[in-house]
This record gives sequence, structure tokens and C-alpha cells, in this order.
Amino acid sequence: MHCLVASLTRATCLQARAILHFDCGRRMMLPRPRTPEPPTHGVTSMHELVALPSRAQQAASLFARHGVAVFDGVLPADLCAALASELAINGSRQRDVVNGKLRSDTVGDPNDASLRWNSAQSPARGLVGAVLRHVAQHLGAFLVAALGAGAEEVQLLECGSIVSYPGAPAQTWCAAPPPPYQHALLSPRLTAQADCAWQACRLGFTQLV
Amino acid sequence: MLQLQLVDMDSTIGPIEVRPFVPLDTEQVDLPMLLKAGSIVAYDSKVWHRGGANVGNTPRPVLYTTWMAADDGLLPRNMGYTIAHAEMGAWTLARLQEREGEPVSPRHVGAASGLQSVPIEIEVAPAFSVS
Repeated sequence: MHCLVASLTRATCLQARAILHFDCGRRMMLPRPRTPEPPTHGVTSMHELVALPSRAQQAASLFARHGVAVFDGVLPADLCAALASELAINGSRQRDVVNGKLRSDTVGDPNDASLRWNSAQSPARGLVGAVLRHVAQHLGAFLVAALGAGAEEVQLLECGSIVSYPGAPAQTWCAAPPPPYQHALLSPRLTAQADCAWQACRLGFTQLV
Repeated sequence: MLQLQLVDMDSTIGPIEVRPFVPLDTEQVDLPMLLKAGSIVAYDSKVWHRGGANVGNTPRPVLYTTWMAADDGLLPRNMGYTIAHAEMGAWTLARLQEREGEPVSPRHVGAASGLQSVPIEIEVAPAFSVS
């Protein structure tokens, strides 16, 4: 079972205006409600999404409108190369341990060739820690602006790696369900079936009890 | 989500593809992020996205991070399995910013000694309640 099951009461959910949804990793999130900023135009090129870390508000506005912002050349090349090397080496070993299937990432699926790691990627240590310090330094202002919270409130929830090997097919498109969010009561039996729960969430049923 | 590109992304190794939000009367397009190593793609989890097919000869390693505001304590603390349980909720942006300038240990650079293979653990979190 790869999904997490929430037990929010309907009253609590409404009162808190909390919205549960599953992200692509079938994990639940409670996103801070933010004022939507409608997109102003269609995006046809990646270059329209490029933002400067030094102009955090502009980047956050771009992100709010289109849901995507791209920052070029934030991390040092040598640091990237070193971490990429580590991940490829260790990931290759793990692929054999898993089962050698060349599949793309499905987040935590033990039969997956693209792997996400756990304690090896502590923000406190090593290359990952160094990378995160760069992110915090250069994109901290963007994160604060985009999330509408102070640096003390912005939390790092996940820090993982994905290694996609030659031969891996494209992933399935995924996204958290868009509003309006619906709430449905699903039986525990149903939630025990990850695929069913996932499909339910994809359809917008966002509360599992 | 911030996806950190660790290698140069060309179309053969399956870069992340996104469908940015567009106005209702505008056609949505799939955009592969053909970026240089060191670039970062920030995307809302509500944006349709996927990793492309890797039809090249080399692996495509990326690092991804998820950030969220604390949101009045409603944030579930038991959802992560990419950060050690003891560290869940412990890493704020402010804390990371305080660590700026700390040197990277030499043993973590270059040689394949910094990260160790660890078994994949799928942690099924118990139901949590918000009250």
C-alpha cells in the first residue's frame, strides 16, 4: 500500500479550509490557500518561464500564474557532477536489488527502477546538504514569496532523488487534483487498495476516511 | 516542488515535462525542460508533469525537494519517506539559510563515498487526525 490515509472529520476540514490532495507520490498535502493568479497568456516555450532568483517577487508572480518557474544556473557545476555521480553509482546498485526492471519513477514503488532515497539524503550532510544550502541561499526569497510565509515557516518536506535509467519509459502524467475540491467518504476497505484510492484522488475525491 | 537538474538535460534522457497553467481558451502545451546542469525547475504540484522517456545511453539523475508553508500546524508530519523520520519538520528554510557558508567535507566530493545505498523503505504512516 503506497498511499497514506487521512482521518479528517468533515467538520474539521471545512472549518480549517484544509484541502487534502495526493501529489504524484500519492502523499497527502495540505496546501496553504493562496489567492489564485490567473494565467495571462498561453505558454509555448520553456524560455517564457525563466526567472531570476534575484527578482523573487517577479519569479513568484510567474509561478503563481503558470505554476512553473525556471531558474538557470543556480547550482555549481562541480557540485552537480559529484552528486550525479553518486546517485548514478548507488542507484545502479540498488536497481539490481530491486528487480532490474527498467521502469520510470512511480515514487517509492519497490518494483521501480527509478529510486528515491531515504536517510542518505539528509539535509544535514554531504553533497545533498551542500546543494540545499545553495537552494536556500539563491531561491530562499522566491520560496518565501511563492508560499507567502516567512523563512521560519517554510519547511522542507521532501528531499529525494530520482534516477531514470536508459530504457525507462516516460512516466504517467500526474498532478494534484485542481479545484474545486470534492470530498467523499471512502470505505477503509477501499482505501486499503492503493490503486483504487489513487484513482479516486485523481478524480478529485480528496478526503479519505 | 523544486527539481534540481544535476546533468545537462537533452531530449534523449527524459527531462521533466510540464504543462503550465494557461487561460481557459488557450491550448495547453507540453514543455520538456531542456536545461543545463545546475538549473532548477519550480512547479506547483497541481501542474501536470512527468519524467520523459530515457531513450539515451546515460542515466538521468535529479534531486527534488518539496517545500511547504507550515500552515497553522495542519501540515501532516508523517508523509515523508525521503527525509529521516526524526528530521521531519526540522528543516525550515531559515535553518538552511543559517548553514550557508559551511564547507562541504572533502570526503563527500568526487569519490562515491558520500551516499550509501540504503534499502527502500515504504513507510505506511498511520492515520493521522487534525483536530
